[in-house]
Amino acid sequence: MKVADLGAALSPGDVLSPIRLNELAPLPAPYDAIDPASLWKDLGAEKTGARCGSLDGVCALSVKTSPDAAEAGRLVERFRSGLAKLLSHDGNWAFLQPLVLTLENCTHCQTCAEACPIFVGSGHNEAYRPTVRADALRRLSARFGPGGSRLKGALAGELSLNADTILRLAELAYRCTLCRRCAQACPIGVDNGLVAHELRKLFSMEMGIAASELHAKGSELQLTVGSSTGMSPAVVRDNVEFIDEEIREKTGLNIKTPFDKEGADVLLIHNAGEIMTWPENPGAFAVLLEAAGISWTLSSELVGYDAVNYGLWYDDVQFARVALKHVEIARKLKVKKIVIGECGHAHKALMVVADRLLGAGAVPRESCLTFMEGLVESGRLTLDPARNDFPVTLHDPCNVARAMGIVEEPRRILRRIAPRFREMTPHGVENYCCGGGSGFAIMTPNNFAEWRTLVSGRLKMKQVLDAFAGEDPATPKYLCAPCSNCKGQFRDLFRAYGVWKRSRLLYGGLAELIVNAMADVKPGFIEWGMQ
Amino acid sequence: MTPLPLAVGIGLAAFTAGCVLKAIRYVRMPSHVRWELYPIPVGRLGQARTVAEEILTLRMVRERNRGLWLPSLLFHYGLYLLFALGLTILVSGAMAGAGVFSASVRGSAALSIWGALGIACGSVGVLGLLLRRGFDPGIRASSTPGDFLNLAWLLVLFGVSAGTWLFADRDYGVALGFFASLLEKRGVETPPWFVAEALLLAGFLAYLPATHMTHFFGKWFTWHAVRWDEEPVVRGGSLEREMQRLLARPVRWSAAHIGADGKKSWGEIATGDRP
Repeated sequence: MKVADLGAALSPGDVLSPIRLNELAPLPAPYDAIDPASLWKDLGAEKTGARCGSLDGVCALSVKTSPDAAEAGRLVERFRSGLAKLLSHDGNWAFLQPLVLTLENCTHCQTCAEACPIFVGSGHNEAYRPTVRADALRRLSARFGPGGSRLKGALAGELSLNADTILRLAELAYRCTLCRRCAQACPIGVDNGLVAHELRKLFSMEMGIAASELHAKGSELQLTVGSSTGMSPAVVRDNVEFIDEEIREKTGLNIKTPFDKEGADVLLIHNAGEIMTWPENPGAFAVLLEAAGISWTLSSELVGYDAVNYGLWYDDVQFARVALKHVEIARKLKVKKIVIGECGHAHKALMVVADRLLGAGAVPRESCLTFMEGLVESGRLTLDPARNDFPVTLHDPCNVARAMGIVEEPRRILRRIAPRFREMTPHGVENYCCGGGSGFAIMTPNNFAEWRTLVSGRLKMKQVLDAFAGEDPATPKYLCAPCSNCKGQFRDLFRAYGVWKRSRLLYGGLAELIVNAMADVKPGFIEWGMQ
Repeated sequence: MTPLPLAVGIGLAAFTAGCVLKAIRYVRMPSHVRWELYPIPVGRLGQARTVAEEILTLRMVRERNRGLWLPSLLFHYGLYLLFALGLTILVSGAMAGAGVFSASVRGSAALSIWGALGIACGSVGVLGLLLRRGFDPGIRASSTPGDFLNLAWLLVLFGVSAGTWLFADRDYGVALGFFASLLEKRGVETPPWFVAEALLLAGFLAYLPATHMTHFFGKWFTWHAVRWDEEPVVRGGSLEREMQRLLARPVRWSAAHIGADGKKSWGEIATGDRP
């Protein structure tokens, strides 16, 4: 597939750059014996033939395809209008300079290509080459963007602007996890991950096209009901009360999670998915904070109990709405700071990207990783590393490591509490994305979950398994993944490949591992078994 | 002014103006949100060391794109050498023409070796890059007509420069005399090889600001103003004022959930009722 093919008219059923299951990057034994076809799901003839699946035989967006001529014309008109806004001061001041620098300075040297875990994991499927999206946007900008001309278009390369191009480009914007490993590899500093982000914005903010899990069932639900999980304030209180009961029973400690405590030192905001799916994580946080004698609280106000901010991945306005709500709730509660739970994108959203929007007077925000390191180092927790005498490795969430440089803090904790900790390769700021980044972990339409399992998560799966190479398959092992979104992806990966059965490997957060090492907690906080 | 000095003058002026205007355009772009990317070198010294290593050894290409590294390194060293040589000739020729030196400037063996090295590195490098671009499937897939034009133009330019060196101006005495003559307002003999080289170079310089080759300064922005920019907002500081100004700008995006009317500001849209 070439960039110009994005606008090609195909016969029904044809796919530009199909997934070739026999070319996927190999996994170590015994996972090499798993036939990828057994984990794959074909879209079916109808959707494969439609524009939705005609890129790679995968469909992430629920967009009406096969528009008639009038609809196709409107699509083109709206795309052009969005392109002009994306490249204008007023329309896109927040990202204009990085975007224009990226569009104007790439030398097409392909130094980024091998850095992309999706491109490599797929067996070098040309659709996933990290430069494809950026090249498409460059070509369309040169010809149809502000100041565009035929001459500029001719030099930039051919790409026709039609409904096929637009709808395939929309799909293609959702084949990149925005992990920015390609940007890190670029000698010029060009950021192809940013281009995927900007394309998503154009589609959402101008054309109303976005992954429903991120928009309708994501940020819209969060702003309306309080959480993208659908939990209302009353439900979240009930659930946390239930978690407290469980934790009391499990630890023997008298835990009661405080809500809406004015003037607390810490407002802890979890990804609400933890409360729904991994209750042991908020439970572990409660144990740590109580044991360390911290004045803390959760919020039960709308949005205040869910740290997610899906706008970070597709829409600047939705992003700003959620970020401002988080700090406003903290301000009203008069807390000294916000501590963000184990959720990578929530870290980057509230601590980095929103930083300049919130202004100098906004409540301070801290990562739970630096905060927990402080608790561990304070000596207020009695820790017995012998309780964690099993192999442990650490997955660095991209938004925490590559986007924020928080690398050593979780390692200093692990060296204190996990005697059999080992690194995976590569790690730290050069880690591989879990394959579920930028919202993918919660996206399951059509065959997208299968694509995540087989393609986008492939290199991460490989390096996690490699980290435990040589260990007895029967020995319980722990993958520490301090990020809800990443855990969602590991849940799906581990389930699909039968990882517990084959390798006795469990994934979980960092807080659970610390509590598991606490001498004054009943032993066995981590429960081994299939998740 | 005779046609050749005019063409060279236009080429140099277009190059300078094009680069300056492009850089000013980057500088004048609104402040963006933080979008840093680690690793971020510690302190200005660390940043300077990283940049120097990148310029002098093309470290990232060496580590991640080994097949392209040697041609790219040779090509860049060819450009560094010839750019420095060109600047030296231009400045010393012009100074001699202006009468700063009492003796007239002459070509030399040192300049000759300097030029030969630059041309050799540049020619081999650009040929290697062109071959990689033409035959490496990955690079070819993302190459544009503009990419081929840039390299082909440079290949011809290096070739003609080699011809000039071999047949017309081995010690760069003609080039020095040419720049000296501009200020002395006298005519100078220019062999055809030299004329062809000067015209190709002038055209290339005028064209360069419209290409991605401006990454020689664009890179300063991508690294310092984006990747390594962690500047926080300080109360009463210029960044805070700039953010307040930008948040007051109108929103014009059209999707229904935005609720923009072309008048409401970013601040109002983000904090007000949703549609």
